[in-house]
Amino acid sequence: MRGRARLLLATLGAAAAAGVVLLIATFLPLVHDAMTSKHIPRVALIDDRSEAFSFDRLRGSGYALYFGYTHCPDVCPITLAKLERSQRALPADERKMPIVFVTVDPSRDTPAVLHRYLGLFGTNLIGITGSPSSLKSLYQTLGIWSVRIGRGPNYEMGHTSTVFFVDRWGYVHSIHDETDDSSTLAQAFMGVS
Amino acid sequence: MIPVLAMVAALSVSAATSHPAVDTAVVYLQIDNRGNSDTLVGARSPVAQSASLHRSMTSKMNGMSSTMMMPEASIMIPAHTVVLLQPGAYHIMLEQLKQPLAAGEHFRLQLHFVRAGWIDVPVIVKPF
Repeated sequence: MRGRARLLLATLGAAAAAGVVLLIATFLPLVHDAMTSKHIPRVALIDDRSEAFSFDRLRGSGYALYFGYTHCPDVCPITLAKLERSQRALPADERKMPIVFVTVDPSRDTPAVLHRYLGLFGTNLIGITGSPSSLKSLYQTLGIWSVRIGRGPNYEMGHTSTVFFVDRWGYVHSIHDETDDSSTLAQAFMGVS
Repeated sequence: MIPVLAMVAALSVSAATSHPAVDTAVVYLQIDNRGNSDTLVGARSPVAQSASLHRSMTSKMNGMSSTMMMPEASIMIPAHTVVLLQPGAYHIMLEQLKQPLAAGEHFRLQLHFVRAGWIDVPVIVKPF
């Protein structure tokens, strides 16, 4: 009897352990998905050529999405330069995937300013601005915050600096820190190719 | 006899590079202090309307990273240390550039230290 009881307990223990593993395996991807499966909203925006822009234009292509402001001399340009290096390191077909830069400072970042600024980094970058309500909708969907620091014309901005990699269907596939190196970002590009 | 030279902070600044954006530029550099502690309190350059000390700070919450760039009134330069002004940390910010800065060009920057006074620094322009 004792042998059977031990066997029963061992079987129940193994089943419980398997159940825990199954639960973790089931719910961990759901937690990850909550972070990364957001869909980029269809809002009316303006690109750096002063043309109407919707993220629908990028359907069928993966892209990197970063939020910042052109007056920033340090973190934003470093991140864009690193993204451009990672983009340039991709195989020829994947190199077509653009870097999309959305301003968090629309009062200074006109389409013309965005165009000049992004020209410093390469040719396959798209600058985005828009009405306060359209930008707010995009910010809210992705949890982007920003705050003005200082007064006068030379104010700075604090802002979310996460880099989003969006797949060809418009879903966020992965998120990365702006401090990640260019080879990590190149792998992230490949993940949405 | 008082060893006057030994009392003077032996500051030197090297490896100054600038990376211009549209109407702003950043300057990174290295300060070698072989003497007493000093404090960097300001900067100026003929190529920009204003030059100021800044510090970038990054943080992470709920899986998302954030960055803040704050003006700094001063930067401490402890005795016998090397202080780096580098990407994502302390840096000099040039605003309202008076002319476009092209890669390969040099310009003059002056740093103001409490003890050492004004120090001239040659800066080379590089792309990001």
